[in-house]
Amino acid sequence: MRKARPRRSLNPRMATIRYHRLDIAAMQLSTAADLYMRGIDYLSAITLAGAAGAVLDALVRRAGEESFIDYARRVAEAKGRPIPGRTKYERYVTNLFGVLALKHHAESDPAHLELDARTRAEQAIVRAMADYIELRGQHEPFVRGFLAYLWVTKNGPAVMAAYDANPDIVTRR
Amino acid sequence: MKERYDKVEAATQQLRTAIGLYVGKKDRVSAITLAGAADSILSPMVRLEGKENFAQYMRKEAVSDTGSVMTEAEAGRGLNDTLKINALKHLNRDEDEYLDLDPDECGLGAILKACANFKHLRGRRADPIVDAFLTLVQVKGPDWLIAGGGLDGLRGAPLS
Repeated sequence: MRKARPRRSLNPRMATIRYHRLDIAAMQLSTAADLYMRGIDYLSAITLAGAAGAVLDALVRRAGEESFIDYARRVAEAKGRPIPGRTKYERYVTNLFGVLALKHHAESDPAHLELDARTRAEQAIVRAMADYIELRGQHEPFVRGFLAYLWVTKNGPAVMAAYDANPDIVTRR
Repeated sequence: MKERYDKVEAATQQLRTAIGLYVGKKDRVSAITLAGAADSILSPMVRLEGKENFAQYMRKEAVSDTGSVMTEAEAGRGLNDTLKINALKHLNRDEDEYLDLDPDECGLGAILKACANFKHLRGRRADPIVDAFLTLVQVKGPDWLIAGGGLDGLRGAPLS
């Protein structure tokens, strides 16, 4: 992590620190992965991964790399479907994961929401983690821990065998 | 497997987790995000029940104190900007990649704002974690929590 620099504030009690947004996203993502893997709170894991994911998406694009959303749009194209618009597709994904419903309520919205919280939390974390790895690699303990968790719970060897056997797989740029 | 969640319950769950992260000093930045998300559900729910939410109250106070003219939406956005709630979940094209933030002050503010709306909606005693947090703030004071009272400070210390 970048070293935080204390700054003077108008309120003498306030201890304002200057953070890089990537460090903020790392905190949110690490806590989301922890809440998910320990089964403590899948809904909060979705919200935190959703917040981290939105910031990481912007940072990856600023770095000139392909974000998870753009990769997923390219996968749709490779499968012969029309390429969805970026804004529309990002909204679709965040809606699918339940991110919007968990941080917003309008008068016309239903008072209930229905979702598979565990699955959506995992997907929201994977989306954000993919962009985080694009920027910082996968050496940090919370990243390694989450990847190891998926390897064990999702039968990693079988997934990789299927990946290697598929010549039409779309790889990330 | 899909499950059905009442949105106020979903908000309360996020608020409880925010309180846990804050009091335990585990991750006060994430506590801001979770309390902010919870409040974005609780605040409109209070208004839909015909009651005055925290942003409406603050707007009324500002108008009465300073004659300031602002809409409810502006008051709500101003509060969220002060507490850095939006900055923790968005990065717009023209925004700086660095953010000045006091997670202790903003975390406490974000949680208390959501607690105020929760209390209006369901009553303070409706959730034991919210009730315990508000009791802790009243008995020990906000400075104690901010300065790192938290769970470490509770060990062996009387509550009065």
